Amino acid sequence: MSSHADITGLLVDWGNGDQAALDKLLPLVERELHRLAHSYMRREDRDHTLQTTALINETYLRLVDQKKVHWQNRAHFFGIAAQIMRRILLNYARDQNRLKRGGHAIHVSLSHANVMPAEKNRELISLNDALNRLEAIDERKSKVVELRYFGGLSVEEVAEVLKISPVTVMRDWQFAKAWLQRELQDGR
Amino acid sequence: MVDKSLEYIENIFHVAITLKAAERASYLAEACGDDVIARQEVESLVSAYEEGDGLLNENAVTLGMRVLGSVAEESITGKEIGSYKILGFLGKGGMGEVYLAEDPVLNRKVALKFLSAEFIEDSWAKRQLIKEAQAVAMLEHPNICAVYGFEEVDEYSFIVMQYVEGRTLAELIRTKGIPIDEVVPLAQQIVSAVAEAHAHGIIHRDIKPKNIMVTAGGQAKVLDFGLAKTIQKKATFDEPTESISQLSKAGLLVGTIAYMSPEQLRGERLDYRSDIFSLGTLLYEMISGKNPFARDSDAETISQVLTHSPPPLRASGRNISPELARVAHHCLEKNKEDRYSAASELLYDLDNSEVNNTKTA
Repeated sequence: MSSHADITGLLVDWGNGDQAALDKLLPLVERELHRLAHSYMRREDRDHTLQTTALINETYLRLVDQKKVHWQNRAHFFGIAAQIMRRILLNYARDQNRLKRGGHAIHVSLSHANVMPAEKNRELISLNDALNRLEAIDERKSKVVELRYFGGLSVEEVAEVLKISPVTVMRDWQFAKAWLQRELQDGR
Repeated sequence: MVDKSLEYIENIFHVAITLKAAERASYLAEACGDDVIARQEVESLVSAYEEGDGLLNENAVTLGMRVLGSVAEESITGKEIGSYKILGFLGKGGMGEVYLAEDPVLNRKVALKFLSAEFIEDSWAKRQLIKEAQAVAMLEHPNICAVYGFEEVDEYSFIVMQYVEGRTLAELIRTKGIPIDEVVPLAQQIVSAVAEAHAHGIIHRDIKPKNIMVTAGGQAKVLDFGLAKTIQKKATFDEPTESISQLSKAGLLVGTIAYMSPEQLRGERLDYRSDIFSLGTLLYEMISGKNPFARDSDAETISQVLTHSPPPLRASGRNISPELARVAHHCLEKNKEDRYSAASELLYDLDNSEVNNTKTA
C-alpha cells in the first residue's frame, strides 16, 4: 500500500541521494497522476481549462506530507513527473504511429484517440531521439531539457534537482536548444 | 562525461549569441583562430539557436496530462486479486466498476464491484461501498442480487456478488420492448424486491431500468444499491438527501433524473414513497416504451418531473387494462401523500386479477 508517509519518506531519501528510492517512487507517482488526469479530463469536457502545472502540484500536495519535507523536495517531485511525462508521451506517440501503419495500439483508448495531432507524434519521437543523442554527449544538458520541457520546472527548480546554479541551468538550456534544433533540422 | 572540446565550443557559443552579426564574425575569427571545424560548429549552432527560437518554448506538461488522461487505465482483467481471477469487465456506474470473476474455490462465477480508480483512495466512497454491501447483505430475496461478501486485497476493496447472466431492463425496452403480458409478472418481481428492502428499512433511491437485470428465464434481479439509504425502522423518513449538485459532482446523476421523484429532485427528506414513484416510471416505461418525463435537457426533464402529469397510459396505444393504467399513474402522483404508501400495497394491487383484465371499460 502506498501511504502518505511512504511517499514522503521515499522522496526525502531520493533527495538525499538514494537512487533506489526513485525506482519505488515512479510507479506510485504515475498512478496518482493517472488518476488525477482522468478526473480532469472529465471536468475538462465541460470547461476546457486544464491547469496542468497546477495539476502536478496538486498531485504533490495529495501525496506528500508537507510538514516533513523541505521545499526542495517539491522540485524533486516535479523531476519525477517529468520522467513520467516523457515516457507517457513517447509511448503514446509510438502507439499512434503504429496505429497509422495498421498495427494494434496497446495503450490507446479509442474514445480519446485524437488528443495529439500526427505531426506532434513525429516531432516528439524525433525530439526524444535527439535528446538521447545529447545525453550521450552531455547527460546534464539532456536532463535540463527533460525537466523543463517535460516537467515544466522553473530554472530554479531545475537548479535544485541537479544541484547546479541557475546560471548554469540557463546556459545549458540555451545550448541544448540550439543543439537540438540543429539535430532536428538535419533529421528532416 | 563532457567532451573537452564541447566545453570549449560551448563557451564561444554563449558569447557569440549575445553579439550582433557583424561583431560576431570578428569575435569568432579571433576566438577560434585557425580551428575551422570549431568555428563551423559554433556558427551552425548559433544559427540553429536563432532559427529555433520557438523550439521547446511551450512545455509538454499539458499535452502529457491530456494523453495520460486519455490512456486507458490499466485494466485488471486477467489479474488475480486475492483468490479471484478477473475474467472481464461487466459495467460501470456511479463510483463503481463491476467485473466478472471466477471463484476457484467454490468453482463459480461471481461479480466483483470495485471503486473506480479515481475513488480508490476516497474514504467517503469506500464507506459508501461498505454501506451498500451491508444493506444488501440484510436482504434475502429471489429478485435481489445477493451479496456474498466484502473483501480488501492490496489496494482493492470490493463487494463479492452473485453473477446474474441476462440483459438489463433498459436494454430489453430499447431493443425489443416488453411484451404486454410480461409487464405485470416483471413488475411483481421488482416491486416485491423493493418491498423486501423497505421491510428492512432500506430505500433504494436509484431504481431505473439499467439497475434491473432480467435473466433469459424471465427472472428479474434488482441490482446496485449504491445509493441505498438505511433508515431507522421506526422513523418514516430519511434525513435530507444529498443535493443534486453533490450527487452530480460524484457522477451519480447521469441519466437518472428522469426516474427520480419530485421530492428527490428537490433534495428533500425521502421515504419509501420516493421509491414508489421510481417504480411508477419503470412500470410506465415497460408499458409505453418511453420514460414519461425524459426530455433533451436536464432542465426540461426536471420541470416535467416536478410539474407535468405524464400523458395517460391508456393513450399509449397498447392494450392494457384500465386497472394497470390506474396503478401506474397512482405511483406517479407528484404529491407523495397521494401515492401508494408502501410497496406492499402496490404489490397487492399488481396481484389483483383486474390488472390483467383488458375487457372492462
